[in-house]
Amino acid sequence: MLLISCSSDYLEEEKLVSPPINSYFKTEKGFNDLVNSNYTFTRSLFAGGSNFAPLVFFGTDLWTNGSDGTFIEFNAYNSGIQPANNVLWNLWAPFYQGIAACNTAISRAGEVEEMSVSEVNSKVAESYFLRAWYYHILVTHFGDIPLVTEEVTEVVTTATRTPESQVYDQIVEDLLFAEQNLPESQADHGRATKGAAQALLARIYLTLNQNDLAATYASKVITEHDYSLLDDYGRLWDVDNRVNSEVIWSIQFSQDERLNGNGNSYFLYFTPRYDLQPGMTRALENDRPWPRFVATRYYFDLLTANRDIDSRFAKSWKTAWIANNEATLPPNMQLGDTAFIYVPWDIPADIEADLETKYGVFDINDLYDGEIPTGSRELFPHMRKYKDPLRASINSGIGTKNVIEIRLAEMYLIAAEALMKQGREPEGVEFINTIRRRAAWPGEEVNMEITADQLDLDFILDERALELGAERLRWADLKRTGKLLERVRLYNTLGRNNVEEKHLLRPIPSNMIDRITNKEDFPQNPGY
Amino acid sequence: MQKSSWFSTLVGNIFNKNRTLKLSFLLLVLALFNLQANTYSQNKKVTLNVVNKSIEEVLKEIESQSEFKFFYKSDEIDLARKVTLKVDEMPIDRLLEIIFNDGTITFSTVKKQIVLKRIRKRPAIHLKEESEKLPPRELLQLAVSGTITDSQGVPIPGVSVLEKGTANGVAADFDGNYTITLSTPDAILVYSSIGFSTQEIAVGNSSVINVSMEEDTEALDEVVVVGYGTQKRKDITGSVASVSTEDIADIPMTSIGDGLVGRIPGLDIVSSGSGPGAGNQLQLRGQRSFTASNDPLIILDGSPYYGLINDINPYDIETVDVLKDASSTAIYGARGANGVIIITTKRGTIGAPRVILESFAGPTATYGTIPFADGEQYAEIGREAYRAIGDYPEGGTSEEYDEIIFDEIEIQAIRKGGKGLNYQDLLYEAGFRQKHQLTVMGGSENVKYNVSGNFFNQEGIIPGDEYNRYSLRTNLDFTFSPKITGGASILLNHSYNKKKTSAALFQAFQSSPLGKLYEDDGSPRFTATADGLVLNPLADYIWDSYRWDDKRWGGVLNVFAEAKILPELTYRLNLGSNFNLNTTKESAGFYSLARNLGTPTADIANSVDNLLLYESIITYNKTFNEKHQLTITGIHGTQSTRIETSGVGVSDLPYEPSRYHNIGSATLVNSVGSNLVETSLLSYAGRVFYGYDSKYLLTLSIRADGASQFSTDHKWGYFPSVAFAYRLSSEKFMKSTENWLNDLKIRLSYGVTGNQGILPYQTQGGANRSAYSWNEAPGFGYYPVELENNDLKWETTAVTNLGVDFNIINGRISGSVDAYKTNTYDLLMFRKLPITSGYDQVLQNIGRTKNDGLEISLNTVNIVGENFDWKTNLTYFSNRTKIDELYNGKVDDVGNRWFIGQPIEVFFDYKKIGIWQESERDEAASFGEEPGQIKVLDVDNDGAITDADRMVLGSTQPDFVGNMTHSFRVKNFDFSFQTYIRWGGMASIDAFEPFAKKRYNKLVFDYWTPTNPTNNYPRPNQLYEDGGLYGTTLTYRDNSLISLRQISLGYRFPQVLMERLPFSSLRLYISGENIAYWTKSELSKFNMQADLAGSVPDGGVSRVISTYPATRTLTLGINLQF
Repeated sequence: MLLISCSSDYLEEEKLVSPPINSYFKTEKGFNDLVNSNYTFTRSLFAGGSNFAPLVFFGTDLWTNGSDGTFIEFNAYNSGIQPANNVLWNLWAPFYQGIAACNTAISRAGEVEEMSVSEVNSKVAESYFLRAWYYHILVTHFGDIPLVTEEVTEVVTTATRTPESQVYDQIVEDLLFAEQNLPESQADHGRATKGAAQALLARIYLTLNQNDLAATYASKVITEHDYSLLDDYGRLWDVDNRVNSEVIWSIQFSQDERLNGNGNSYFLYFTPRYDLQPGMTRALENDRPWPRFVATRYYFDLLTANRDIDSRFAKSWKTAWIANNEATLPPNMQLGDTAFIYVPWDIPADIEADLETKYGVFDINDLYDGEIPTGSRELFPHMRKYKDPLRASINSGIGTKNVIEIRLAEMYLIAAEALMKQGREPEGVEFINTIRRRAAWPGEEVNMEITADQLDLDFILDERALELGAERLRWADLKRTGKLLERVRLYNTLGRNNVEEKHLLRPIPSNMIDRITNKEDFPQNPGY
Repeated sequence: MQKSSWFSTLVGNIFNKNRTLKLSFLLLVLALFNLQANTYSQNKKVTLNVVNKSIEEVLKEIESQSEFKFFYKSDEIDLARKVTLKVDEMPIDRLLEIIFNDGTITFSTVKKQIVLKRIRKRPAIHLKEESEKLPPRELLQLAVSGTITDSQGVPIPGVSVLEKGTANGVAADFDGNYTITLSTPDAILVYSSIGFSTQEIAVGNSSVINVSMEEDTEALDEVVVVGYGTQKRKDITGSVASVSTEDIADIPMTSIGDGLVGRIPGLDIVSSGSGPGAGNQLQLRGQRSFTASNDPLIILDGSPYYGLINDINPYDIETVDVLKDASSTAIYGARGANGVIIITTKRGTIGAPRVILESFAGPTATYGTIPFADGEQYAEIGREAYRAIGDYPEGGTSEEYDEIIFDEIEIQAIRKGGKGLNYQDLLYEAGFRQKHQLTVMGGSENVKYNVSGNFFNQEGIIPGDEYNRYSLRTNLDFTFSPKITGGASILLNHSYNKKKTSAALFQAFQSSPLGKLYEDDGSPRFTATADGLVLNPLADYIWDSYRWDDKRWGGVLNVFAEAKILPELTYRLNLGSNFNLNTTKESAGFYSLARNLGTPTADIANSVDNLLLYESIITYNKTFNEKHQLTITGIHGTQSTRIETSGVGVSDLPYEPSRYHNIGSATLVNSVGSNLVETSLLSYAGRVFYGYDSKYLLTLSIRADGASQFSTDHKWGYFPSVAFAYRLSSEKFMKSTENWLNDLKIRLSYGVTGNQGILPYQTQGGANRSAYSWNEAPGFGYYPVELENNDLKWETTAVTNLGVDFNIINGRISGSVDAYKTNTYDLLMFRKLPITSGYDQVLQNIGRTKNDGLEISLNTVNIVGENFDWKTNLTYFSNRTKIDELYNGKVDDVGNRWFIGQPIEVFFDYKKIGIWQESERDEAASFGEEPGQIKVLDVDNDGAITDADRMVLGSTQPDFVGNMTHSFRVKNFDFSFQTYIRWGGMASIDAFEPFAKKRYNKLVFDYWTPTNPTNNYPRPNQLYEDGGLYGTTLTYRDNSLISLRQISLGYRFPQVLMERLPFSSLRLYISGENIAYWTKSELSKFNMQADLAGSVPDGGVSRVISTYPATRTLTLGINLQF
């Protein structure tokens, strides 16, 4: 004992439980692990209840608030949009941590010892791709933001805002590197590929109004790779079809809790309180109800206007439920019968009365009082793109379903928009029609086609609503096209009186500003 | 009325509940009465046939036939008197009556001694004259006798008289008389008794030694345990408070924390829950640290204890000494900043084996149910929530609309009418608590022992909640030679805490009272209503689907050896080890509240930690010229800890009844993990104490600690202290006050201590494992999460303490007052970083906090009499914590809720100023609100409620804590009660934030409606989640509490009776805990008490209501000594 205590080694500590960063990241395995970690933060958009969702669904022309959930201020554009709002920090913080993890990989790529330069470049190109993706979402919502591109190795307590244009320059530069170095395909589904980099470039160029490049890159993705549109729009959302030819890049979740982190919670938000209807109880295949986002009247009208030729409403919305609860069955209904249906359009009273003898019927007038959802906003058709019947149990809040972040159909719509903006409508309309033909009910393909003179910005926005509705792009689309204020005022009953120019940017989270020592160099966005 | 009948409910429950342990308690009591009857009849009998023998011979004959010894003064008894007797099997007492039939001699029995005395008034003062007439001592076989009195000449019964160096000893009788037969002529007698100073007297030629014992009432000679040694209380220079378990021994305690509540000025104890096995949080002189631990260091029998304080059996404890100021704690250096609690367990004493049995048992009951809404009220709140959004007609009820807003189960209940279900009534039962402890102690000069076994059991007020603790303690002391001594302390404990539900109470509070728990055919329902999240609160019991099992095994093993190298120089070696094993298992089935129809899961978590301690202590202690007292202490020590944890979680168990016993059978592994944490500490310390005539006292100490947690250049910290005390009452000029002011001492100290209470490896930087998947294939990774930090060092606390100790009118009034100022700097604090660096925070030594406070402790002896005593103990303390500086200097950290000038834990929110009324409709609209919603203060008056309008509303810190304990003795009855006040402070109680919408149940509130324009609670509103806009502002309550914490009535059976029983003492008592309480806010009306449940809302820290309603306990106990 005395001997031990006299030795100076007695106070040395050895950490056995995790590898020493400096040596580990130089190995092939270590560097691969470092790049893997870059992906983890992409999931933050989908975790828990105070995530990204209110920023991209609320406050648009397509969605308004349902009965449950908070952060309605982003729909109302009212004074609740404060720098201290959790939603903002929950986007900002994990994204900058993700960027830092990417930066670490990028800064340390030169030190990797067991790999050739081209192997390293191919690997680190994933980090460049992800860094660009993180920055793009941040810059969309916050405007000028701190641009950090190197690993930080010592305490930094200052930060400054880099102009939006420079951030975009970095994003483009990163994506060009990624495009050059990423492989055509990856053994691991979910890793970035050359096609994914090009697709993201197309999105970025469109945002930057560099329409020729946007069209070029969208075309490259369409023509130079093995992606193809699925024949059946409805198959895109099937849980057994998570890997398919239309997916360019998807964010991965898992049924294995060890791999799944906090999971994907979006399955909750579009589910009505079907369980309160007679003959119904909660069931895994029907998802757990948490009525958070309800389509606006405008969106339902748009979705159902051409329901006879356009299959997309039918194929991405659930409108009928099968009775599954013996205890509450109404008279003359059996288990397995239709319990109730939602019909988001007008139906003649006599037909409705006839149907009501068999099951519950709610038509658009039951669902909306004019433009406003009726009742306590619990009743509406179920948008099924996030349906997740593979969760562990009916009341589990941990979703398992992959999220398609970029899919081929978007490239057609980008090409069409970019061409239209260059006055090349005849070329653009072909891209639109490809998408519309795929969406048609069998035999109705021709009826879905449009002509070049029909192609304008509003048409494209409506087409994107039909094709990409609920795929988290709407708020950015409206902002990019300069239509946010106009469309919110037209179609969003809650936000229409409050929305103003300042809302095109979100406030910088107060947690960011509170922590820096050079606050005077770090202005808040105007109006907050 | 519920409240008037609680007592009968309690008592009824003892007898009604078929619990084997309760039965065994009753049996024990019955057995005791049986035993008394037996011993009475078993009185020893003798057979004698003597003819004309002297009394002396007769007594010898009786001695030879029995185990009794006679004690008498030869001058009192005519030993030569001749008697003739023939008796057969006669009880001794009857025989003695015959022998001494003249009525001048009485006899009494003390254990196996029969004391014979002449009946007459005999002042002690005459004894000396009489002693001259004594016959030569040879005739008395070297017997010494005498009377023991106090300084006033009043005889003291029961004083132990021991022949030094032997096991030969007797106890004085009830008149203070003793006779001891010596084994050697040159004996030294040791006289000792509780409450008096021990005296040693050489027998020499005396055959009569009358002793005047010096009272200890001033407690000045009481020995106090200080770090690495002991000191007489009168010589203490720092701030040290002590509680002897004698003071609290009669209180039924769950843990030592319970027993100490309110008794040590400066020590704030808050329970961290109310269920069985719930612990306490101890905080000494406030909070000073943000990140490092704020827990005081606990030293258990010399070795640091990092286990749960609950696992220490409070009945093993002899004394608790709390070192408060830095001059006392600096000797613990790096671990001393939060104060030191030194726990010393009971040790053996010289004497024949003594057996002590202590038992108590009794029920616990709730004050009543927490008044959540009944069915009718719930329905009306629901309707109002829909009225608020225009979906229900104003005024009155409508069956048509009811059908829309209530589900079919609720509709059935509404149609049936009545109040619906009260789930709390279905759930609550009487809890139960019992303790049994057996102690054996005794010893000789060479070996002393104290061994005890204890069983403690507590059952909660909802079924299946249970806590058991088993402990075994062995303390041994050896004297190998006059120069070498040694000993061992071995404490082993096992605790077992279990629950059969995860959320029954939570569901009972929040499920709709219009629910239905069983179908009409009797089969159970899993949900209470049609809503999938409104569950049957009894589900875990009905399906027996949940288990939580927490088992701990702990051991504290210390050995020491002490060598007197020179008479004034002692070397002591301490070696210690303590270990804790913990395994926590949880299983939740498909039909469990935790899984809510999810696949069955099972989780196991294990931890093994151990600590190794080595210390060498060398002490030089000498008094020069009778006036200069010098003690020098040198310490060298090491301490290392190792914590290993592991765990696994699985789901989809194929066979649910296997619970967590076959987790390998599960389909899915959700988590697996293990970890290792090691630390080491190397220390050198020295202390010098110098006292001049107990008048001027000076203590200097310094400690150097090296800790592995810190970076190479900062491993070592140095912690000096100085303390000076001045006994004013010893001065000549104080002569005039001498008669009433017995002691007055002023203490002043300053010292520096450290805090190393952080996890290791934080200087190194580190990587986290990240998880991802590639279409279900594993995609794990690593990324950096911590920056390297080579500047990390100690957190340092400097304390200045000024204290006064006083003793007035011979101990009738005594006490102390301490005032202190604490400055903590180089705080180990996570500096929040701009996240753009990728790092959320870095641990740095930045910031300062301040604490200052006042502590008063006062003991008064109000009445002392032969038959009646009344004593009072008062404590008072207040502490203010202030943040002085944060990482950015004097700038608030809003994110962490840390504000300059405020305490560390504050409530930061909007301030509710009322409810918007109809007349304010326009103004409300300008804030985006409408009548019926909460109106909050627009602090900056900018016409909008923004982040800037939040403010500090209060803190958890109490204004002051006070305690008053009165103890009375009337003849053999003792009676005491304790009143406790914790005044001020705020709690956030989430039950007061009702769900805005109709879904979950609420406490009944005075909520706003158009016809009830109250300012109390907002209108229920179906459009909002949780509590709605600013709902959290409803939760804050003044936490001021006054409680009758403890009241007890005991009866000590008279010694006269004891003589006929095989016990030496017997006491029965009845005690009530938490019998009544009053809160400044309406908490007591709601049968709630705020305590620390550890729930932390976003960013801030709050103490919230525990999930248990307030409870009270009644206990019946017995203490027996053989």
